[in-house]
Amino acid sequence: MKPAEIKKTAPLLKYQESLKSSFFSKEKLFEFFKGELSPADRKITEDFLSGSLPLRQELEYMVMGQSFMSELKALQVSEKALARIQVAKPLTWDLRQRLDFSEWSSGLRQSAGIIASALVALGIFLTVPWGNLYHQLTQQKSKQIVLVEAPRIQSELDLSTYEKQEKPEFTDEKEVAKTSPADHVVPTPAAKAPVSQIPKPVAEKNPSVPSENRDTSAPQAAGSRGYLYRSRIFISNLQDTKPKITEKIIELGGRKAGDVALGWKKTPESAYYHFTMPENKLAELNQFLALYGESKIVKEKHPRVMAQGIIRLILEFEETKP
Amino acid sequence: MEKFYPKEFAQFFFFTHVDESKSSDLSIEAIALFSKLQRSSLYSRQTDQNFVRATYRIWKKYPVRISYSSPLPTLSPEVISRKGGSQLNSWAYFLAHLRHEEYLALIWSEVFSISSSDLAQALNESQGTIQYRLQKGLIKIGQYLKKQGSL
Repeated sequence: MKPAEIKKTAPLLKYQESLKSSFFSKEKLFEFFKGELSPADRKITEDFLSGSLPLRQELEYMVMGQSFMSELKALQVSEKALARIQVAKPLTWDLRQRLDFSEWSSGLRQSAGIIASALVALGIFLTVPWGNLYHQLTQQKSKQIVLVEAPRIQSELDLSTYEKQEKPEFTDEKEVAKTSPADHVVPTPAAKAPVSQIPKPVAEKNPSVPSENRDTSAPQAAGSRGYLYRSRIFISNLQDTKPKITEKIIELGGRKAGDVALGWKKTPESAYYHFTMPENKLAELNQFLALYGESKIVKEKHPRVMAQGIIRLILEFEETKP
Repeated sequence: MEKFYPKEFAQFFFFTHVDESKSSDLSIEAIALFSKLQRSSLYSRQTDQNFVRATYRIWKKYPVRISYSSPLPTLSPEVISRKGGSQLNSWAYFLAHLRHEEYLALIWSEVFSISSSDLAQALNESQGTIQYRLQKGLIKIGQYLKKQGSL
């Protein structure tokens, strides 16, 4: 560049510099005021301010404003107003402030942790009812002994259940069997039922209860106030006859008395009828049975008392052996 | 500022509303919000910013009703007689004549010494905007005071 050209461009550069410093200074006035500018920037701004009255005035206002704010800052809220906040603020406020672990020193935190753990352990030690716990534990041990014995008891129970399942549930019949097994004119299969199934009270009280074969007019044993009609009949072609017998019994008002249905197939060649029916139909039943074979219904004493006019019967039919 | 206690909240709302009883009520609400912010994972440990967030949110909920047309709040002699109380009438005037962004920024910055960068982050504004508001606010106060002084 020639010296003449330099002379021409110098004022322009100066003007540009002036504009730049003006913009910079206005922008950075607040930072200058706050003292946040670097020394170089501060020098530029100070130079500009010395030649700029508006900016100097702005700076003066800012100083006044800051001074005012500093005075205002001293103004405090009354204790009464603060007390209202203290009362109304959440209860956890102070607690949270004090329990802010992050603000504690590491040593203090560790110590607090140890103390807290110790307190928790102590609390557990004091709270847990050791006596009761020990008692419960010892009880558990004793229960274990019971559990050891349980299988034996269980096996007995199982056996009794098994026996119960095996025999027909005609307790009345068994009572008779127990009390007078030898006195039966016609021994019934039911009389062979397991002894364990026989209700003991009657048997024990009356070891010599009269059986079906005995005279029904014999003195009645204590507690034996009812009667049971029993018969064992041998007929031929039982399978064909059985439906007719069942039909007749129902026709006469007979109702199943035990757990098994009328005509229960006790053995492959037998049919078992345990039922109740009106007493006045007994003669008709006898006549009907006489058609198929020799029938002799025996009246036995029995502890179970039936309703007036109702009798209970056990009829056993067996296939005639060739 | 390391910690904010009820006093700071009360002082903030006293300056925004020029009413002691109101400042107590608003402080209770702001303190609850501040505590919540401090516990939140997003804003935890940002104590200064959370103070600004909590006070600004409650201020927006109950904005001050001092304006050009409304009369300035009546201040009790007891309040005026306190240290700095003599400035309260002028401050009430500024509340009516300054933009709320300006006087709020002045309270946070000049009274509670919260940095402009924290203010910018809490209010989600640029730092330049905050500095501009502070500058304008201070200039307006200075202008008014100079005018009052010359009168």
